[in-house]
Amino acid sequence: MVSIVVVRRVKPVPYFIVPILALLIGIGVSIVILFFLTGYMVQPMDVLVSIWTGLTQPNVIANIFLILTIVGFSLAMSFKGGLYNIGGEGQFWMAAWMIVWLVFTTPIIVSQTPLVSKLVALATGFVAGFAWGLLAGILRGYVGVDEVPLTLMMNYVAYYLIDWLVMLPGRPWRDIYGYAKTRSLPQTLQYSIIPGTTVSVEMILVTIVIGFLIWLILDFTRLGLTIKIHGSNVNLLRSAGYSVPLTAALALALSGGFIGIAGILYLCGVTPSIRIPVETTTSGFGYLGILVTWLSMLELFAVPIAAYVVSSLYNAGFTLMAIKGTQQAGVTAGVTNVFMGSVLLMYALLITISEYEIRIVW
Amino acid sequence: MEKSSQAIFSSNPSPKTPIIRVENIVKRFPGAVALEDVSVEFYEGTIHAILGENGSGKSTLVKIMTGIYTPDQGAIFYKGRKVTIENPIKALSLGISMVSQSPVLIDRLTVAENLMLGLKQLGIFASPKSVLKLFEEIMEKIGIRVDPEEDVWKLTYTQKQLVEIARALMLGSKVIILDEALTYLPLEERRKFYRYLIEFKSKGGLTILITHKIPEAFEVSDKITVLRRGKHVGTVKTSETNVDTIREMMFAERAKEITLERLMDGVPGETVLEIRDLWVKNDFGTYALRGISLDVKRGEVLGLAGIVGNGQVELAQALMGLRNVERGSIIVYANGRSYVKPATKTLREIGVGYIPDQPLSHGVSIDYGLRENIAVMPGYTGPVINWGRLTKLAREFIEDLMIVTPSAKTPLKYLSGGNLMKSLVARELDLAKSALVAYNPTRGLDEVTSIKVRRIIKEKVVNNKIGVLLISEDLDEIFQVSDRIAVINEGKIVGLFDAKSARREEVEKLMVM
Repeated sequence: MVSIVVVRRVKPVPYFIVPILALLIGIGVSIVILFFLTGYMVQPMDVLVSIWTGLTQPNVIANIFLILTIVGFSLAMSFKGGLYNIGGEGQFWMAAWMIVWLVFTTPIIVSQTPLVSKLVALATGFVAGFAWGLLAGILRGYVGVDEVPLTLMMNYVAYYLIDWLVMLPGRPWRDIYGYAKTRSLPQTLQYSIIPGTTVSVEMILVTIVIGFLIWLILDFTRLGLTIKIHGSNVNLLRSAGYSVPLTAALALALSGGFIGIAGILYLCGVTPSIRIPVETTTSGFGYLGILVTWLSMLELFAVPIAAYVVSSLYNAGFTLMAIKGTQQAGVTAGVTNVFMGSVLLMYALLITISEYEIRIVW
Repeated sequence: MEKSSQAIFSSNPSPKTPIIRVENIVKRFPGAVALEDVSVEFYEGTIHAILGENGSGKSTLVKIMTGIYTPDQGAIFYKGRKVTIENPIKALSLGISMVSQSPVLIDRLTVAENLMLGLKQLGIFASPKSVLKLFEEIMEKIGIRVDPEEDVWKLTYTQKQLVEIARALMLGSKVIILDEALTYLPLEERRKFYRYLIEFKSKGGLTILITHKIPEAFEVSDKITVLRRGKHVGTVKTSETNVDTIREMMFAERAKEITLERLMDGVPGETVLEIRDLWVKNDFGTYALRGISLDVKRGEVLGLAGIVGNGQVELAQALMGLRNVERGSIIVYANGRSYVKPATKTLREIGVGYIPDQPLSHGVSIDYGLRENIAVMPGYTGPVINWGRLTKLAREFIEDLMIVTPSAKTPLKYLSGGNLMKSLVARELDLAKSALVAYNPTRGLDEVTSIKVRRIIKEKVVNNKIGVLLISEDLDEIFQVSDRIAVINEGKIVGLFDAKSARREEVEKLMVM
């Protein structure tokens, strides 16, 4: 008699299989969805060409790639600690807001030389993101609030707080023409884009430094080890004498701090002012970063690879709009979310195959 | 064999009738082969013991028979028919059930509710009244009285184990596998249960007894199978062999290292750990410790004997700052000063080691290797980790305790239970510069490794003058290692003896009174 047996794997599947399959099947699902929902106007080749364009034009997607790499590294740190920081958006934008506020209300940043002002801006972004993450961390660690809904809700607190602050009348950061945005940052703070690309030297350097720093922290410091052990066995941490609440708070805070730096890079290197509503200004780097982190299977070396792929998918939405015929089909850049959602869904389903196998037994 | 009107397999049960046959079973785990081409036959109306050292594959074999694992190769035959046991429900439907060392009852439900759950899962929707009636009949047969309306958390370990065994019988089990299930029962309770096993056998039922304790196998089994390093060494009739032969089959040339003789005497010095009138609550809000007072001196092992569930877990946790103390005091003397109710971090920094009762959940991180499990402990690294030094230290531990692992970086989840325990013991023994609180430090370890660990503990006590509070349910261990023996019963110290002159029967009596 033939039996179908589902058993837990004892030997792990090579970890890259799940993200690769999730990508391939996710893209396939997106193609099917777009083909049918647009009345066959978006052909499979259109989708593949748009994704391929992103993959083969690194100069176009470079700025998004770098930002997602930083967010991916930062989230990997907290995810490794078993703390699911969904609040990347809030940490990103609170850091961006903090710079705007400081630039237009105090001379702390603008009175410095360009180099120093940029460094101070980065440090301030870290502190702002750290503080926003620490708030969630304290509630998680000391009160026991689940960090997933908590950090998610804090994103909305950040969005609406910033939307309100930007539009406060008579404030020095208000756009002089009354548009729903802040004034642009001074030139001394803005990064110089390398011709032919979308990035600056500063963005590249900062991304490399942050990646290196996070790797050092996680793999070579006691702090990093306690964060990782928190994700593995909090009881061991406790019996070793560590404060579990403090470890949780620090992990979320550090993660938030580094994401804050990504917010500064965005403001100084991509768009020098904050436009509202903040929630829809971008496709949500804080959320895209989660996909990057999952696709990397929490392996730091794979974060840039996953970030590159996700950036290509992000860009594919814009490319698809430009392809002849698709505008008539009503395709907007929001189609990006179809790609992201499909890949994430496939990932969630396929992760089970890394834990279970199906055997046919005779 | 007597003919029985309630025969389980056949109307004329015979120990010559094979019930289960495992043939050429192979099971692999990352970095190790757990079972290599193992073939064994189990017969009707027998009590069949499976013995082996740590990592020999005995637990793996029975987990395959109960559907927890699936073999990579080989076949299982049940009453002559090839079967696939893909999950525990399938095993239960064949009448194969397992009782393991740790009861898997739900603490917050009553005994009756736990029993109903088990039956419901199998699709047996008996009425509560009939379930309770059957439970009472079985309890009477086993010779134990447990109130089915009692919350499980209030039961003693012994009672919980017996409820588990009763549940196996209520499910109509024809094959009962006891995976170290009787090892920590007091002798008196074990003997009561043996009477039932013999009756079960007379009706043709098959009992498979997994143990690493050779004397336990000789107490009741008809046959003994020995596994070593995943291979079947041999199957013999118990009446035709002896303890030494079995030891040689289990350990080969290492068998001569086994001894139950008392280890060297400690020389007690000044007090390192002072406990006065300690009152501590358990997780359910009632007092687990009721005014305990004990002193542990440097250079001695104070053994604390008792049946599990009498406050030992709470005592160990309270001493390590992991559980609140309602009343009383704990003082640790180290570095020329006294520390009153020290926090866990302080205890670790002044060199108090801790081997917890649940090593997997409280003692190690299985996702990381031995070197990471060392590094996380205070005193082994500064803010920046020197992996070179820690890897070297981990390798020393691996060599000293013969831990079987590919490397110091291999995640502990890939090690067998015994090697994982050795990793924990190695780390805590190294960390213990003042004192060690050890709860069942050799649980799950084979005899050779247990002796080695006990010897290392005692050498550390004698040479380094640390004080050890050894909490154990294994009286062999208590008597072998301790200089003084205290007995705990229902949260109180009911006896204190010099280990050399203590009588085992007296200690056992105080444990169960």
